[in-house]
Amino acid sequence: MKKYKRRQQIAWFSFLAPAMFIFCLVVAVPFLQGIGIAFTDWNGLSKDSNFIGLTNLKYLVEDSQTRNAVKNTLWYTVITCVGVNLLALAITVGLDSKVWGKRFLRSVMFLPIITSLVIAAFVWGRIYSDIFPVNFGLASPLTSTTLVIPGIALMCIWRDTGLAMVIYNAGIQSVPEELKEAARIDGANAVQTFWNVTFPLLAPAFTTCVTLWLGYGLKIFDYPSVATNGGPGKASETVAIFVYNHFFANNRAGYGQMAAIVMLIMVVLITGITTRLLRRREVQL
Amino acid sequence: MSRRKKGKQYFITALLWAVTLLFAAPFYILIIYAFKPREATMLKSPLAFPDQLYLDNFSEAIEKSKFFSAFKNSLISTTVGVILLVLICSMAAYVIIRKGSSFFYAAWQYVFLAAIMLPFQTVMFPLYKNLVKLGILNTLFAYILVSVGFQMGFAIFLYCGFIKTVPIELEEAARIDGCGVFSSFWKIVFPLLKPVTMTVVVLSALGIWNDYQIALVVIMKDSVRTLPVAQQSFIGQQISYLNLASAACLLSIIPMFLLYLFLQKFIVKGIVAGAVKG
Repeated sequence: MKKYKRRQQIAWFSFLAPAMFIFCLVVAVPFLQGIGIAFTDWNGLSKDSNFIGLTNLKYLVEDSQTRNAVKNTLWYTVITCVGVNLLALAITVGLDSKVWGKRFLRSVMFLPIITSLVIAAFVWGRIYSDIFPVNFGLASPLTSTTLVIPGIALMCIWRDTGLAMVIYNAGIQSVPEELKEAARIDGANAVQTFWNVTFPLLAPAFTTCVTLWLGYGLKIFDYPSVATNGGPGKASETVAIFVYNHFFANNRAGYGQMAAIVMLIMVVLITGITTRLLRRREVQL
Repeated sequence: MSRRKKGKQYFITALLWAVTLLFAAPFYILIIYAFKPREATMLKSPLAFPDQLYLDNFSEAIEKSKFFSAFKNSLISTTVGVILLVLICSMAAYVIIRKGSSFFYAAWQYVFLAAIMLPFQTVMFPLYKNLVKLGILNTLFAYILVSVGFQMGFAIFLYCGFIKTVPIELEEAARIDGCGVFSSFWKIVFPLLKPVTMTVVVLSALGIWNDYQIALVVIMKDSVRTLPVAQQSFIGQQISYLNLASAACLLSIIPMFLLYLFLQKFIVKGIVAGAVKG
């Protein structure tokens, strides 16, 4: 019997083992190694390095480039998170009525997500530099230090709104028709029905979406890297690009690793606190 | 319906169509650029419809960007990566939910959940150094492993949410009939997971096919490049040949477009099952 139980346990463990193995190899072990590197002055190439304690953290706080990168990342995150969620919510609620061709509209809205970020950045680069000046008489936002972040954020809003719509749409279909009917009979207008009936029931979807796009935004690397490579100057350098450059361009692995860990703490704190606040406001049906 | 209400409905419909057209506009630009000869992309009317369909762009883009090599790499890594993800994540999620009372398995659920938030930057450099040491940097094998490792958290999260809703009685009945742990999973539970499996397939296929950041770090050699990295360098070289760059972009969208077309209804269903309930 004991032998049977042992075999049973091994069988169960073998279900987790492959995932566990790959996870340790790719995520867990490098993560722990990274914590070790963050407290050294390693340049990433030489054999030896010195333990320097929290000196990297001190430099990081004093570095004006850090502040610039954090500011750009937060600005980008606010625009995309608000933009994607407002737009997706508005379109989902709009489509939840008698709209001609709504299935077609929903499919088209999802289409941008199938493009890669490289393609999205390329197409929007063309729009900004060819169409904007010729057809609208506007300069490309990607060449302006103040408009470059909103310009890049617009690419993300274009590509991601369809995905957020799928999540909101799943939520809105769980709103019972009788509730809206009851509100209408009680004399509520469309706006009141939305705020008092539909939106509270969409709250779980709202929490999911806000958390997802906060995370995407704070970790953003691809769009600014592909579209402007952090430029003009350093006007669109995000924290992720800042870290990447310290590893692969500036050869400051210890410093970059400390920045990466601060980045992780920033992501965990901001998304964690926001999720908790939003979850508390959710109502149960 | 009152007249005022009807008018409002027309207004909403028109507005939604207008917004959707705006979202479709970038595709229009990509398509017309891809079918114009080079001179026409430099004229003063970039939005104009092409005079004739200039198909030479595609053959030239395929040749110059070594399209098929990158396409093959993307196809292999996406296919293998997705199959691997479906197999190992469904199994892991199954034991995590069914053995949830054990501290060990419950702890792993939190580890995988936390990994969703982990920025790639945090592990990027040590991982890169390890791959060099193992001698597998610049291989598709390493690229697949890393992609799977980073997609795993979300896939396990989706599977866990779904497996919670699968009744345990079915497996117990099978167990009594003499079915082992493995065969009761593969024969009874796995087929029931089809909706969420389809979602995992679509989302992780999109994720791996379109991934840029991991590929940038893991793959630096031309011959193993996947489409996004190859395209980025091609676009950089062809900055004055927008027609060729557009044609290459358009070609690389096709597989994901087909996947989306066939699996569209599963995306919606699976996300309902996983993300919102979870």
